[in-house]
Amino acid sequence: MFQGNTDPYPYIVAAYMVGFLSIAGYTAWLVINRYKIKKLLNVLSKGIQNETK
Amino acid sequence: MIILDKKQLITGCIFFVMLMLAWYWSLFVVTTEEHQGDVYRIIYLHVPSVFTAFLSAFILLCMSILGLWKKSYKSVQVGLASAEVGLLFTFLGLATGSIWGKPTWGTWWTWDARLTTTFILALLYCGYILLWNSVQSNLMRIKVCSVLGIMIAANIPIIYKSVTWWRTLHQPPSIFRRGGSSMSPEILSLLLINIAIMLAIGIWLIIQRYKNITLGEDLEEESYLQIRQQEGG
Repeated sequence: MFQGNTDPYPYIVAAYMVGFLSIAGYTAWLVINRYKIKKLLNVLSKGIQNETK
Repeated sequence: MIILDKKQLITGCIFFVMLMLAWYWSLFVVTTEEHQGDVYRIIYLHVPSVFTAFLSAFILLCMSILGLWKKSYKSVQVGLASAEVGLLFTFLGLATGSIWGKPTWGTWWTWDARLTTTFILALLYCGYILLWNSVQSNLMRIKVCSVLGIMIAANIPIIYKSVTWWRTLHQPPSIFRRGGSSMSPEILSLLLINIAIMLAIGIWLIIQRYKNITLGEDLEEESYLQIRQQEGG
């Protein structure tokens, strides 16, 4: 049953905060993850180059 | 060092700005719904999230069929990316639905058919990720993950029809139904815009996650080769 007397604004703010934080958080995690992998790949390729020299 | 190439960065930024504009429109511009009041505005986040979770399951289904048919490892890599993004949006759908449920139904959660089947979808996505990480052999990974991927997609029609098959607290379909949508054109058009943007973000996230998976496996291979070289030399 619809609870018409409830103040809706805290619920709206909470829902959109959860939405924003989930999407932004996952995107940030992907970018950090990509940065770490690329950094390690660079270190490895430099190591191989030094060895071949 | 370039983390994201220019094209990926620009498309990501465009989708993000579009989402923020759509949310601004949803929160401050569109008219208030006459029965529920302002709390109905959560629909512009809740429904697009669930649709994106469904899209992820559809991509997972296609990749699983392809995986079983062609024995392609690439398809289960895309499958893992879809399952992760699907889990994110299923969580978002459940969380926003729960927040919407408190002021409208008077409860955060109830074990009705729609909510329970969606919760099962989240568990299945978790199961797919766990299975993918626990199986080491590529061929075995293709087989078992593809079978689970098909089972996950089979849950989607059950979730969609749950509100008509069983008596639930959740409202029946209001967008795709016989006789047209029950929503006003203004509310419906903004909802469809929000769905389109969220689907685009979902696809963008799946592509980015897929690239991370392939790069991570390149890294593993390269470090293995280097260890082999050091041992040999």
